[in-house]
Amino acid sequence: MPVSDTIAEWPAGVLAHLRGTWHPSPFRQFVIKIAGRCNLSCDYCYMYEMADDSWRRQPDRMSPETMRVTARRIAEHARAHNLADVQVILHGGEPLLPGPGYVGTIAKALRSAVGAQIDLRVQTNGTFLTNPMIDVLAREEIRVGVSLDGGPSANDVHRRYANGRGSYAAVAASLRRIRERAPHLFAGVLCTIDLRNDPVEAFESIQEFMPPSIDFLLPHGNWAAPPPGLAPGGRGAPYGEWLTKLFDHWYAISPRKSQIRMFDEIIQLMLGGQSRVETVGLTPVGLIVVNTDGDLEQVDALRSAFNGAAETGLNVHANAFDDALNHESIIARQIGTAGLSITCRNCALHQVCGGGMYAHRYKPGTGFLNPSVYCNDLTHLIRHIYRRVSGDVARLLEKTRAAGGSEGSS
Amino acid sequence: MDDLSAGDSGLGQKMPIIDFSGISLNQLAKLDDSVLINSLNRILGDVENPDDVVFAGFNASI
Repeated sequence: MPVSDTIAEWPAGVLAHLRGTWHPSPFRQFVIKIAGRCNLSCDYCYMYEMADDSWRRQPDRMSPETMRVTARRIAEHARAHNLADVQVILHGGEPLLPGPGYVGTIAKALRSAVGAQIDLRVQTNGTFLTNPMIDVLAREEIRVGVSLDGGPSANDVHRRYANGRGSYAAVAASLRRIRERAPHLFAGVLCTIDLRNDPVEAFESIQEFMPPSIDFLLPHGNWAAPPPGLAPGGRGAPYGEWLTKLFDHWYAISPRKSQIRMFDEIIQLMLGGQSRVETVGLTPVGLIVVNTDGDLEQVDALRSAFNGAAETGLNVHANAFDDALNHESIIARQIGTAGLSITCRNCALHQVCGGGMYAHRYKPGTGFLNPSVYCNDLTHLIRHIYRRVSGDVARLLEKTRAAGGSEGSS
Repeated sequence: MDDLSAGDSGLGQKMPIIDFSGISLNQLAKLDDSVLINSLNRILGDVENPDDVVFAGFNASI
């Protein structure tokens, strides 16, 4: 379905709702799709297996000219908004597929145009982390996030090569190499939840590689195309229960092991802080995606909603990043509560869940102005975390006061 | 599980922020490392040295 067919859906007309009260936040995170293809055929992939097939029109890799223009646009945006630093995430497809020479050239082009204040990262499926690749990543100071769904059986249910062979063995070997050769580069693991996998086993299997952080990702879906095992509008919370079991296991570990970003951010929000990730909270989204041909896109998980959902109609060859700041879909994700449905605004938890991940709110007819299809699950999880953390903070306060009282009287 | 429907948190109109006033970074430094202590350290650090800019970033492991 082309974008124009859904024009009446939210966020169309968002500016009229704001009545001049909105001020854009600049982009600080640039996701650059340097490769348009992948060597794996994961069955849940939003790029290649869901509603959007625009990847078929994309080149295999970003051209040197598009890379140069992208780097220049980032530098221009940083200067225009006085940004002290920006983060660039190399993404794909599989961003390491074009090889270490290409990755090194891309990194040099970015650093040369943008300067020292660039924080370079790569999100990879982990199958190309050979020693020469790790050496290039180390030389160019590119930190690495790897996708892994747990142990061999959990991972290989979905994360397979086109011939059906699982990817676990290759990824595990890569992670051992990077732990041995350049452990400081290893930023974390991204794990997509499968309800059939035990959450504690998945967490502990990933712990073998000692990632500083694990991001557990809810499978992409929405009200029209529900995630596996979820009945939209029903009263169950299967993902909430799965995550609650994981939370209880993780929360009790002392000394701490890996961070679990979703849980850490939820706790920060409950303490009155701000989230730094788009999946929870109402912090303005500061990221933009540059596709392999230079097209500017919104976060590409939106591809799971409908064909063309991530498109902006802009391209680095013709447009500055500032042009994307005026795009209605970007605006809708920078306006906090004003970008939420009435149901969400009337809910006590909306400051914490933030309405859930934007892609998960889609429903034909109302667009993205709905609660998340995971609303019950998020509610179940957030209430559980709130009870646990608020109780522990209260006990800690009592202890602190008691200790302070005895210190004062002695 | 909780008996809930969409938008019904069971916590009234607004979930209260957890009150940690009275806890200091010095006190936390004496306690064993845990998720809770790390979270309190982070929020107290943000209070004492607030970032001028916070943005919501990409949902990846990096």
